[in-house]
Amino acid sequence: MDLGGLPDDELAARFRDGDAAAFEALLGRYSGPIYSFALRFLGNSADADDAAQQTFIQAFEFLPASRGDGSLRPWLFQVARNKCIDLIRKRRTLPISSIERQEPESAQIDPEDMAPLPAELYERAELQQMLQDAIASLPLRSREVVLMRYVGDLTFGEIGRSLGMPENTAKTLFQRAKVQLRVQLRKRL
Amino acid sequence: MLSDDRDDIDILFARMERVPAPPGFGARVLAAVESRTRARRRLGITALAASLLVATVLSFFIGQELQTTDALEILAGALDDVALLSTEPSDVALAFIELAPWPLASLVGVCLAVAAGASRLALTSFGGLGPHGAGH
Repeated sequence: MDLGGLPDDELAARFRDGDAAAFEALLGRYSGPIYSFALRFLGNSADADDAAQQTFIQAFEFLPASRGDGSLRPWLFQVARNKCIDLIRKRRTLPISSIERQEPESAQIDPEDMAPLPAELYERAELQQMLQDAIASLPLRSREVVLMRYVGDLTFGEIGRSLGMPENTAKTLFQRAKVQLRVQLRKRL
Repeated sequence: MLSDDRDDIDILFARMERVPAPPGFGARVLAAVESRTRARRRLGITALAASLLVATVLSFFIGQELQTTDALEILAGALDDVALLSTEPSDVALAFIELAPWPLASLVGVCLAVAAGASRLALTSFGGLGPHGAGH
């Protein structure tokens, strides 16, 4: 039976009932997005593979007892985010100061930063690398929010629940991050 | 899920490539899960067997202890003379409590608790995957 069309909750319920194919369907559905998230987060394919694999192992071990409330997708990204941070701390691919750097209380937004980017940017061949570099330049918290939004397609409510913050805080972080991304991308033009 | 009022940054990041998982990724996850499941099951079975063995040995020593301290006779007497148990239940209980080998009994209790946890680990570690999915 093809389980690919079933919603997440249905697959999770089937997995809890012992249906192995349901876990495989979830794995097939989310392996790409979770790997992509980890790759953008860590900027390293080997680490991303490791983090994504650990994410699904944790899903296998904890999904049966803990899920079923319609929040599987944000939960998976939350686990992936935690695995990425574990890897960063373990391998020291980022200095601790960068990992723990906090957002400024009130970021100054220059009105010029809000101006649209030139159309030429869209034509740049190295767009992907630029985006990756821009993401990597963000403080950790902002990076999490941006990736959950752009790669995970999570709502701000889901991002807030995943990161343990109010929805409005997630929105604010996202808006600030966009300003920073805009500045970073402008520098690269 | 992005809303319609997207700005240029949103549009730009919508062009960001969604990188697919590497070839064989799913198979590696399933293999890792299977390996961990087997390891947990082995651990559960080993702990179950060991705790039951220790509990059995301790129970033997408890029996010996009960015999040497005459606690067994008190128990047998109470069972033979039900009237004594009904008229002086507290005396019988106190006498038994004083003579019972509580440290050994506590250890047996611990072993049984470990056995319960280990059996759960051995049985539930298959989770939802089982031999079908893990066999890939």
